Amino acid sequence: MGFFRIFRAEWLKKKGSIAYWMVLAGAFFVPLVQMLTYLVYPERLLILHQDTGPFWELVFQRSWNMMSTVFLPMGIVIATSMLCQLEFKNNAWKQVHAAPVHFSTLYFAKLAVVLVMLVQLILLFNVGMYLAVSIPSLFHSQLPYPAYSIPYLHFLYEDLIYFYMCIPLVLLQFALGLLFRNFVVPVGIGLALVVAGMAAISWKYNYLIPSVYPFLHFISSIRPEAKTFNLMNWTSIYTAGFLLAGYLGYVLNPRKG
Amino acid sequence: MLCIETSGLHHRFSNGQVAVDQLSMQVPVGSIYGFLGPNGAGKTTTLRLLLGLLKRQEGEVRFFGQSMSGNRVRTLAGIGSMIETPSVYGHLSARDNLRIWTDYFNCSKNRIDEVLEIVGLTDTAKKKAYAFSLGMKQRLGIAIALLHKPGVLILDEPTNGLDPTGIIEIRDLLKRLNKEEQITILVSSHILAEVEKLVSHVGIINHGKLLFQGTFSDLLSKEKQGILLETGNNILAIQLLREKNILAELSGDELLLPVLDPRSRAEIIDFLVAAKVPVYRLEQRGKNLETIFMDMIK
Repeated sequence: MGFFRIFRAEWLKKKGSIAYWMVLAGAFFVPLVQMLTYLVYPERLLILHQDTGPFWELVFQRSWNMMSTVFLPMGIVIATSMLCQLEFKNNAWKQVHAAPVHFSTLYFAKLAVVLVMLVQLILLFNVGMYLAVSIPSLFHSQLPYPAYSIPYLHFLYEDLIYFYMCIPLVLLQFALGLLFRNFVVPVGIGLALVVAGMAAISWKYNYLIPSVYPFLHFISSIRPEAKTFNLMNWTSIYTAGFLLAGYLGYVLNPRKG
Repeated sequence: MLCIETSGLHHRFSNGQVAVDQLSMQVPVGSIYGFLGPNGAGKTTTLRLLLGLLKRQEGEVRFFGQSMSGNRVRTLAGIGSMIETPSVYGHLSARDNLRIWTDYFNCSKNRIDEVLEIVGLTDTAKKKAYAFSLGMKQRLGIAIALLHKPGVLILDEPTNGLDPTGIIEIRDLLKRLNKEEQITILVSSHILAEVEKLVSHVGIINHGKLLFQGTFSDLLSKEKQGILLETGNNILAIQLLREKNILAELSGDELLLPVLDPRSRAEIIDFLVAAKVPVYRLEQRGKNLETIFMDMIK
């Protein structure tokens, strides 16, 4: 019961904050770019309608291709750091830690808020995908309305895997965000990791860099034969490691605000 | 009965500097305890140690006789605090800020209107906190500290940066809370004039050591009594007074003389003026916190 109370308090803190707006912007940025592209070049969407493959799965793949490479990891780095920064920016850590709440409850309630925000982002991204291919048909008569049946369960399953692939980066960024008062440090480290992941995408051991996991999942979903390692296992290992390191770093910090 | 009690509290920063040195503080229940000291004396570090914001290295902290060790959550449930600047989320309204803390303190949402009224922020409850003046933020900080009806308030320089009206408002509010709600208040400050008008008990700290602790009247009785004399030539005046067996000592720009009866005072003035030493002022030294404080931290 105490956990949900603190979760509610943490959830309220993000109301109207930059982290809140980052989720909306992050969810709709890629779909917006796609929608504008299809409005200007309707033939690119027409190709998808004429393709023999399932329409929605092609749309899903195209959208996740752009999202998983850069935008999702970058969004995680910035939004997670922004959320942790709320306490530093408002000099609130000292008040939070002087409240009658266990440190572990605080840590996990805050983390739960970040993870729920990530779920929000992925679900809104799906809504954005739908709108990106539906709205152009209202403006171009040659584009049919995409009335094909949507494979909801498949999409939800894939969304769940993408969510799981993001967790190591969320935990790393969360740990850094709680540790450093200066916002530039966690964001700098996080973005450097994202860039390093992009640069090392063709590297044999690219699975050692957790920021590329969403993209590696995307690759393995379209080319299952390309998968030479167990991404789920690596994600689980990093998740356990970053969770433990982040929690201990927070709880054992002798200065609490 | 003691509300707050520390014994042998000691804290050393990572650079080796001792911030709090074997501090044993005793704050009686129902008191307003002024924790005085110059900047860097160790006031904020002590308050942070009391609240568990800094890891305790040595010594013990007890609230209402209960040790803080192993009882952090239960102890904090009875304490309201505001350390340095108020912790206010600028992008949220005053009401939303308080909603957050009702969840933290596990208290009723009905308290929000009550505390807003106590601190006089009812009309600005919907305004975003970033648009608040410093005084309003301080009052919101105090409202947060009061939400869960604590038995003790720990406030670190709550009037810092406030204009004279704001200072008076906060002082009156604290007095009212102490009197009407029976809340024990520990308030740190380096503004002596303000403390003088507020507290019942005083603790004076410098270089991490507690130099005095007791009631305000105990402190005033410690003042060195005497006559203050301001002349145009203090050195010559000291020599002349010595000839008359009056021991005068230099105290700033003035001379401090022993207690004298009115006739002797008049004689001294005549004597010095006759010796061509201009006398500008002669007065009985009043009971003054500032002079006591300065004498103590010298």
